[in-house]
Amino acid sequence: MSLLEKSELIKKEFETDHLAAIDAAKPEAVETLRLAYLGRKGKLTALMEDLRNASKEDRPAAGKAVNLVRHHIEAAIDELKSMARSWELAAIVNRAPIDITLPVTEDRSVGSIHPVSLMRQQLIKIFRTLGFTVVDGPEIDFDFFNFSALNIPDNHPARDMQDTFYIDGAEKMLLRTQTSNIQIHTMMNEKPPLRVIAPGRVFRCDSDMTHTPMFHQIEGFVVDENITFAHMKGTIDTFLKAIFGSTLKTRLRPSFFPFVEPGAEFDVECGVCKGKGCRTCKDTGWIEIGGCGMIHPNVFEAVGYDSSRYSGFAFGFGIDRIAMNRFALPDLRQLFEGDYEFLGNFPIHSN
Amino acid sequence: MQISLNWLKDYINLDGISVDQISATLTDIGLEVEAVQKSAAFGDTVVVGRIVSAEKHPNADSLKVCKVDIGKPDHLQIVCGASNARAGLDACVALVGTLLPGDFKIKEAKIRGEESFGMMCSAQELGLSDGHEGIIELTTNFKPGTPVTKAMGLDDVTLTLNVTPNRADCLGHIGVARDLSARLGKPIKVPAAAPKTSELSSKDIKITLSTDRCGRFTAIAIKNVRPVKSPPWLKQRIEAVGMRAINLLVDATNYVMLEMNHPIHAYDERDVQGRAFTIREAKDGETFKTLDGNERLLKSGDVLICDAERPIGLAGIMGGLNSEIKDDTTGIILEVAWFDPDSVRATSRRLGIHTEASHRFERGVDISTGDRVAKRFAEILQKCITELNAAGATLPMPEVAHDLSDQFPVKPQPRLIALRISEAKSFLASPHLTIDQIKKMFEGLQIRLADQGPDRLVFEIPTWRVDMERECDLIEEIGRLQGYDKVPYQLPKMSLEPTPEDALIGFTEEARVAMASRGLRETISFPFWSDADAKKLRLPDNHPFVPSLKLANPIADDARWMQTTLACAMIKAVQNNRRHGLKGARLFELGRGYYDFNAKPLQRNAFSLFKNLDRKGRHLSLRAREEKSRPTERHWISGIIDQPWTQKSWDAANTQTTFFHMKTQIFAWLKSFGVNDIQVHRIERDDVPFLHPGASAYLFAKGQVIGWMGELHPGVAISYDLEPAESPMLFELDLEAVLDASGKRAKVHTESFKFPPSTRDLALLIDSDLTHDTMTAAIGKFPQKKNLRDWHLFDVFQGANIPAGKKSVAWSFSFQSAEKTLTDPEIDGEFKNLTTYLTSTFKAEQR
Repeated sequence: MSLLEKSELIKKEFETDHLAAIDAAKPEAVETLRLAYLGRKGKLTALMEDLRNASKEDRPAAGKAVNLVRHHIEAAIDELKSMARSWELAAIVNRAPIDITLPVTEDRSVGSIHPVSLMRQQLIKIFRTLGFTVVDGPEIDFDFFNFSALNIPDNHPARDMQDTFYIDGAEKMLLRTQTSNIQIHTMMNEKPPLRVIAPGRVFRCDSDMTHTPMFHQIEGFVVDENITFAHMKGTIDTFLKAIFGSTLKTRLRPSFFPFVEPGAEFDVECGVCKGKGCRTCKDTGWIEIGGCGMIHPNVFEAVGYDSSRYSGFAFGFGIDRIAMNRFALPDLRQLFEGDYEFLGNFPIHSN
Repeated sequence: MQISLNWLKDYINLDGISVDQISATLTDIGLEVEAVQKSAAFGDTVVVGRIVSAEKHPNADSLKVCKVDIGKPDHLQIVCGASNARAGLDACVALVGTLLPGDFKIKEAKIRGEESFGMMCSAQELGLSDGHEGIIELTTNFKPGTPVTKAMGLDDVTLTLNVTPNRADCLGHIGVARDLSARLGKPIKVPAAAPKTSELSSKDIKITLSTDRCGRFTAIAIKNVRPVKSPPWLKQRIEAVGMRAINLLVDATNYVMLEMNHPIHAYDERDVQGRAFTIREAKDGETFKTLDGNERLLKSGDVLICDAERPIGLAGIMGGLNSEIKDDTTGIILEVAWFDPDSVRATSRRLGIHTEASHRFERGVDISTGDRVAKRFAEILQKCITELNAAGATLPMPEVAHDLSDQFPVKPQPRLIALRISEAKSFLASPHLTIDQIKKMFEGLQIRLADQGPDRLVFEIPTWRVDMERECDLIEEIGRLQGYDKVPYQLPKMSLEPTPEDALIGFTEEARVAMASRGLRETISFPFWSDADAKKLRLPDNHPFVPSLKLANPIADDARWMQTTLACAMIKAVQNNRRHGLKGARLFELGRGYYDFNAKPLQRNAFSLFKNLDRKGRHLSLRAREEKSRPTERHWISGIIDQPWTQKSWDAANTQTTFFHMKTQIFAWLKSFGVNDIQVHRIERDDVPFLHPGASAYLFAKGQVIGWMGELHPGVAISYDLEPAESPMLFELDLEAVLDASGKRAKVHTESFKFPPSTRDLALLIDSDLTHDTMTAAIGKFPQKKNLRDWHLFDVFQGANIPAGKKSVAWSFSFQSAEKTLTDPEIDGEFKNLTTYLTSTFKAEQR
C-alpha cells in the first residue's frame, strides 16, 4: 500500500475513532485516541516513520499528504481536549444530588445566652440610647449602703419589705437586697449631673414557686438641678414603651420606698388583653413592673449632695419576670437550674 | 390590712360610688387594693320567708307543716322541726336547689307523708355560727323574698389593702376613711366616744413608767362586764376583716384597734396585783409566758408591763397568760399605751412574734388619743350590752369609770412643716395647682394650717401622721391627692456630660457573647455552697477557695456559704444534667467569688497562683475602698465541657472531650479580645486540687495569671456522682486580668510574603516528657535561621515500635522569603542545619 493510500486509510480510521471518542464523552477516551495516533506507537507516528523511509521521489507528494493528515488529526485532538475539560465539569455538576436534609450533628457547637442576660442586654441597649451610663456595685455590702444611707434606719418596718441575708459574725454585713446600694456608691464618687443604670444580682431570703433567693434587678437614677416628677414620668414612660411596645399605656401609682418621696410604682398596660382584664394581669388590666420616686433629700444628704440644689429620681425593677414574659417561660426556678437543653432554646444575640 | 366596706361607710358616705370606683380611688391615692372579696353570700336562693301558718304534722309530734310567704302568689309548704317555728316569724328559707355549707343540697322531699319544698335554716345550717338555737328569727323588716344576704347585712365587701409601712394611720378604718375623704371631698364622721360613766374612779390604778420606751400609759377601770358572745354585727365585722371573734370583751378591743389603729389590752382586774402597773425593761434572761402559752426568753431592752408582783404583758406585742380574760371575768382594767416602735420591733423580730398589735406599734400609733380610745372601748361595750338586752338577754350595764389613770410624761411638741407653693408646683410640674386646692387637700387630711405667707403654707402635723417630716412629704400628699396622672410627661433636659463607666462593664457583656460564640451555653446559678463542698473539692483548710463568708440565715442547710469559685456551680450543673440523662453539656457562667480576707488572710506563699486574689475589688465608692472589714469580690468567667465531645452520628464518631478541645475554645476566646501571647504552665504543687494533676494548667498572659483549666479530678467527680472515667473539663478565668491583658496591644506584623513557601517535614524520636512549648521555644532560637518562617507539630505518637520513655513527634517546617522564590538547595541547606540543631539539642533520633 502506498503512503498515500495508507494516510487515506488512517484518516478514515481516525474519523471513525474520533466520532467514537466524541460519543464516549470521557476525558480518558481523548487520551486513548491521542496515544493511538500521536503516541510513540501511534498510527500516525508509524506513518511518519514510513515517510522518513520513503524514496526521494515519493517523498514530496507523500509528505504533503501525510502532513495534511497529521494537521487534521492534531487539530481534531486539540479540539477534543478542550471538549474534555467541559465533559469533566459536566461530570462534577451532574454528580448524584446529596440528601440535603441529613441532620446537622454538631448542635453542641452552638452556644447560647441566658434569657435573663438577653433581657439585660436589651435593656442596656435601650438605656444607652437615652444617654445612660452603666455602673455596678458590690453584692456583699454593709447595712449603710443597702439601708441606712437609703433612709431605711435600723428597725424601720420598711425592712420587712425585704428579707435580708446577713453574714454570720460580721457587723452589719449583708447580701444586697436591692441594686439601690449602687446609688450610694455612685453618688459618693461622682458629682451631678448623673444619668445612670445599674443592673445586677440581688438576694432575698425567700424561696418558693414564685421567689428565688437570688434574682436580677436594674436600677436607674438621674440627678441634676431642676429634675421634676414630670421628668421621672416621661423617662419611665419612654423606656417602658421601648421595652413593651409603643402602643401600650403606662401609669404611676403612689407607693412608698423610704429612699424616695414622693414614691410610686409603675405599671404597663397588660399586653395580653390590652387593658381589658385577663388572667395574666389578674383582671386589673395592668402589669406591675417596678418602683420609682423622687430621690429623698435624706439620701442626698447621706452622700454629701446639696439637697436644696439637686433633685433627681430613681427607679428599679426586676429583670427575671420580664424575661419570663418575653420568652413565655412557665417556671421561674427553671432559670437557675443550668438545664443544658432548656438553655439551648435561647439565641446569642437579642433584638 | 383588710377593711370592710360596710364598716368604712360608718365614717364616710360612699353612696352612689361603686366598689370598683372605691377600689380604684384607694389605689390611686396610694392605698393599693390587692384583692376585693365579696362576703360569704348564699346567692338569691336563700330568701326571707314569712311563716303564714304553722300546723302540727299529722304524723309526727315534733314536726310542723308551715305555709311560708316568699313574696310569690303561692305560699310554699315546708316541713320544719324547729320549736321556734311559728306564724308571723320571718325566717331564712333555703329554696329547692340551694347548696348550703357542707355541700348540703336542698331537694323536694316528702317527710312522713307531707311534701316539703325547702328548708328554714338555723344559723348553724347557714354556716354563721355553731349554736343550736332553732331557726334564725330575722328582726329587721324586709319584704318576703328578699335575699337573706342583704337582709342580714352579709352583703359586705372586704378590701385587702397593701398599706405601705409609712402609713400606720391607715391600719384602722378611720384612717382609710380620712384619706378617701381628702380625695373625694366628702366629710368624715368620727364616733363620739361618750360612754355613760359612773362614780367609779380609775385613780386608784397606780402607773409607774420606769423606761422611756413607754411614752404613755393610760388605764380605765370598767366593772360589771361579762365575756358574753358579741352581737352579730360586731362578730361579722371582726370576721369580715379576717380575725376571729372570741367574746365581747376581746372583740371590742379588736374592734377599737381596727377602727382607730390603736391596739389596746383588757386585763382581768383580779389579775392586776395591787391595781398597779410598772412598765420596765426586762432583765437579761428573764422569762415570761405569753397568752399563747409560750415561754419567752427576754433580754434587756424588751419592755414588760408588770403589776405589783410580776410581769403580766409583753409590751406592744402580747398579753400574759396570767392575766387574760376568763369566763368569769366581771371587772377589767383597760390598757391604752404607746410603746417605742423600734423597741417593739426589735423584740418582736427577735422572738419571732408578729401580732396585730406589734404590727401597729412598730409602725407608730397615735400617742395623743389614749383617752378617746379608752372611752370608745367603753362606749362599744355599753352599746353591745344594750343591743343584746333588747334581743332578750338580761345583762348588767358595764360601769365605766368617769376618769382615767394616765401617765404621759413627755407631750409631743407640735410638728410644723412649711410648704413652698412654688416648689410644689415646679416639683410636680403642675402650674395649675392653686393655693385653695392645696389647702383643701390638707383640710381633708385633717392637717391644720398653722400659718400662711405669700409663697408659704405652714402645717401642723397631727400626731397620727408619724410619716411626715419634711417638705417633700407634704408635696407627696399633694401629688397623690391630685393624682399622679395629672403630672405631664416630660424628658429631662440635661448636659450630655456622661457619668464615667468602668471598662469591665462593657467587657463583661462582650465576654459573655464571645464565650457563647465558642459553643457554650450560659447558665446562672445561686452562689451558695454547702458545708461539704469545700471538702468535696479537696480544698485544704488554708486554701483561698475555702469559703470564709457564712450566711447567718441561709435559705437551706446546703446553701450556707458564699462561693469563692464558680467551679462548684459548674460541676453541680453537669451533675444535674447527667442526673437527667444528658451528657455532653457545655456550660459557662459569669459570676463572683466572695472572700473575707480580713477574717481569713490570703496564704500568698502557699498558693502562689492566687497571690493577687486579695487586691481591691471594683465598683466601690471611695469610702467603701477604705473600709478595712469589707469583703472582696472577684469577677470570674467559668465553664465546663462534659463528656463526650461528639456522639456517634452519621458524620462523626463518638469522641471523648479532651483538654485540648477546651484549650482550643479558651484560646480562641482570648484571641477574640486580642490576647495572643498566652502561656500555659503546669500547675506546680496542689494549687487547684480539684483538677487532675496531670491534665491541668494555669494560663499566663502579659505577666499575669489569668486563670486555670483542666480535667476534673476523678476523686472530685466521684463526690458529685460523676463517673471518674468521664470527668468533664473545667476552666475559670479572672475577667479583670483578661481585661488588663487585652488592653496591652500586641505588635502588629505588617510585612507581607508574596513568594511561595516550601515545606519540609521532620520526624524525631525524643524523650516523652519533652514539652511542645520547650521545642517551640528552641526552634524559635535556631541559630542558623534564615528563611524558616513557620513551624507546627502535626503528629505525636507513643506506643508500638516506640521505646518506653520516648515519643515520636513530626514537625512541618515552612520556609519563605520576602524577596524571592527560594530554590531547593537553599531550603535543603537550612533544613539540614535545623535537623542537626534539633537532634543535638534534644538528643533526638531522626526517624
